[in-house]
Amino acid sequence: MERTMNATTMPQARVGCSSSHHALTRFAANALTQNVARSDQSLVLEVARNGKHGSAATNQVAPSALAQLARSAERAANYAPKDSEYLSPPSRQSLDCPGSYSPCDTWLNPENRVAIVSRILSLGKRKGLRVSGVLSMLRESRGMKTSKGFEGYQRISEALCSVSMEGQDGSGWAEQISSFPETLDPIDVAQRAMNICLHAQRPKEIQPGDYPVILAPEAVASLFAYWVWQMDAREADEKRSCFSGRMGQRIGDVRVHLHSQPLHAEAPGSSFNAEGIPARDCSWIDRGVLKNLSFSRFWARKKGVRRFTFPCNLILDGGDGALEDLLQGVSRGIFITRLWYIRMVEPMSLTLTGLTRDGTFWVERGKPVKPIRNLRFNDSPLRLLSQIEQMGAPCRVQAPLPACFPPLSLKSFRFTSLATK
Amino acid sequence: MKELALRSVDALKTARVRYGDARVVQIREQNIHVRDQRVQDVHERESLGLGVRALLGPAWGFASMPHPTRIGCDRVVNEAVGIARAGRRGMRGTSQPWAAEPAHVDVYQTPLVKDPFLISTQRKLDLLLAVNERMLKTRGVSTAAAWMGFRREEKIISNTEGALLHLKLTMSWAKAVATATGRGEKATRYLEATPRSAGYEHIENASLIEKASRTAEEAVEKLHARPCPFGELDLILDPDHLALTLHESVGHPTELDRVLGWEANFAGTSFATLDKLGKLRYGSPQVNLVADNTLAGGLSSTGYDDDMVLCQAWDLIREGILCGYTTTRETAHFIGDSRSKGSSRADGWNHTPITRIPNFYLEPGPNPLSPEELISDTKDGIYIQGQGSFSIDQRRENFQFGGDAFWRIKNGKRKGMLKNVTYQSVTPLFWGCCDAICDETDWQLHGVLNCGKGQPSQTGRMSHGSATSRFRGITVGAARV
Repeated sequence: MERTMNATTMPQARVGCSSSHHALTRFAANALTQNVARSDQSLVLEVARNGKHGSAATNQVAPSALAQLARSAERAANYAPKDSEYLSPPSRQSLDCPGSYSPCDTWLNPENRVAIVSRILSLGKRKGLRVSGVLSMLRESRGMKTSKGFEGYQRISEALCSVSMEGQDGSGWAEQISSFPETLDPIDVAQRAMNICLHAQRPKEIQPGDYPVILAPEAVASLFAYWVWQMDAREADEKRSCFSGRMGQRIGDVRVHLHSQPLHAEAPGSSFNAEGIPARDCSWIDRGVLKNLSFSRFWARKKGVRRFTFPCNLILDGGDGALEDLLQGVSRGIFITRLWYIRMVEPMSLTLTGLTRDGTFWVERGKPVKPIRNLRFNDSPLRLLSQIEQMGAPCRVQAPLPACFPPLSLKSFRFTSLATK
Repeated sequence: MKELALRSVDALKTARVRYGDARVVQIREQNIHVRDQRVQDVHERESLGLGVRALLGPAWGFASMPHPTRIGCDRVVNEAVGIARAGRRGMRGTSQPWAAEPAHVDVYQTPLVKDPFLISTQRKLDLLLAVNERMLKTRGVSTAAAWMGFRREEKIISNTEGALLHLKLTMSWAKAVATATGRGEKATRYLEATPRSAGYEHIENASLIEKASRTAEEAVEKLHARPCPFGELDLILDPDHLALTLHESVGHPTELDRVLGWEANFAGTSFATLDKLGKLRYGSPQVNLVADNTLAGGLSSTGYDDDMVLCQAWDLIREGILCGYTTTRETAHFIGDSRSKGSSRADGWNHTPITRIPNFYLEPGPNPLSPEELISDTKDGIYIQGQGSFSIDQRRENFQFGGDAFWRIKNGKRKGMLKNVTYQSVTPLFWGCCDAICDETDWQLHGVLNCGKGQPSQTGRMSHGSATSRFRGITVGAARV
């Protein structure tokens, strides 16, 4: 980063760098299908003079490449007209986030991955199931430095095991993601997927409509992924967001506490973002009231907001109960393990559509009593926040950001059509 | 680049792999973004790296590295072979056939008139700012943005069978959006020079400045439009909209890897299973869908795929019957083909190739028919332009799509715009409802830039063509927005 900074003659500069190694084994239809190791690195240089700015990126680090990178960024800046919203780079501070990295490298070794995948495949094959999934490990280092003395650095590790099992007429799925590879338990993931699959065979039809639901944590997280992309304060202030005019208003059940916490034990977040904004503990919704939105540096300055941050991770607090405990509290409803292909239908109400997948069950008197065919929903997580019956214990789940979500039981969720299988 | 690729292949041969290839890829991109008369970003990106595949018995290994050196090549080859070896030990089984292909030695480059990387950034900015200005001048528009992007991918691929390819692929696109807000609502309307394998001439020919004001006016009209009715109506879909419908409901279900269950954990499977080949009524008799990776301007018109198979054309659906799949050298034998259809592609140098949707198109209708004539012939329907919300189940049957702009049709005439239109159907039922396709003068090709698939996730690029078409009695408004 220092060498890149020195390569430019522009007075204002920001350098971002990253280096990653990703190892992954993929399996499907009871066989190994893909086994890869990928390394990459990148340098991004943004330069500015008198409010004219431009940027360039490369994955080359030779001195000649750095000089070329600087020339590209400078050329872009020279062409650009003065930007009235440009702010000089963030100034002196040093940020590090030590809690998001584990030195454990078990899953970087292809032989270890293949050995575990063999055991996962054996589990399913013994039951006559088709097994698919992925076992992966990512290591990444990120850094940022500015001409005004900002320095940030972070290392992350992330291990993922995702398993699907298919029978004649139904499928099951389970997944575990962790910043700490030593906590990954792929065999447990496989057994959970297998149990769901075995119970998902010969699904029955039910009519689309409004039903009480129990959402597994992974399903809750996939609904809230769109939340993240709507959290921009400027969009809300300029009346282009579902949060426009709702700051300080109650938007959900009093138990809802949605927040970011950079040093969260299970889902540690980035310590800074691409603008150099430091991550801080921040409640987005507290006691059901919309408390904060995400600010860019420019918008914070324009609005006179002095303390602001960005969603470095997303944590929805819950209760203590396991998923099974939530099920016991439901007299009738639908249990959903996974949601799929969620897309925005109408942004101002945050109406989303998507489908259930890999294990959908009818629940009566606290127990899943029969598998049901997959359903399409059209509903809004904004509405669902006021439909909460019970909240279980949060756990780490896959999302656009590091995230912990609890299982939820909701009074109603709107299904609009039946999938064919 | 060539020396590094050949050195890697020599090392693969020394390791006695069943098959191996090496790709040295250099990517150059430029992206420009303006918003509300501000230049939000002018960004250039370059990436150079090496990706090596090794097949030992039934097991693949893939390794990659940025900015390769001679020593680095040897390391990457050793890593790829080591990974394949680990797979072979752990996964004893019979080797699957690897479809034969002549060892091509060739050079291919995207035909273009004006190299976009030789056009000044100032000229590009001037165009985007002019489009942006026209949109902002439209009464009722609160914000407007415009983007332009160019990508050049130059790659040298060589394999252990003696093939050697030098591909130089160029892509250009531009897009603009006007947003109108009011009464607690917002409405957007997009304008684009669709992503295309072409040079800067494609941007110039798109008449973006001329179309900007009308696009912005439609954003304002859409804001005040009536909501989507609920019921069964005839839909008239324009080529831009149909590109995404084709992609989701035909492109993905006919990818053979999905049919075989290789994407079961992530992107999903397919309802168009092998037992249905040659039998499944996928659509009405006038539905003819042709895959063609040689189409002029198609994003998958790359000369050769990453299995080093010559790009070609084949039928997916003929007279409404499923008759083909998209295959690679690894999957062709599952349908008894001795040769791959050539749709194995990797996203850059640091991904292994996977099955990708090809360019494909809906053949135009045989008789003269324009969109306005089709509208005149429709009593009760909705005309949809452009792309919007889209969602489909993992087997690619139950879908719900939106669009960008919607007009109510009553007794053969447009009766004002609608907003928040969604339609819901099941793939073979929907294509079975297709009763009219406009003629070739209306036929257009549209590019898809962001097809996500695979683990690790890869982005694919391809194009889909069609003429405006009509679908009878489709359910609309079930989303109840």
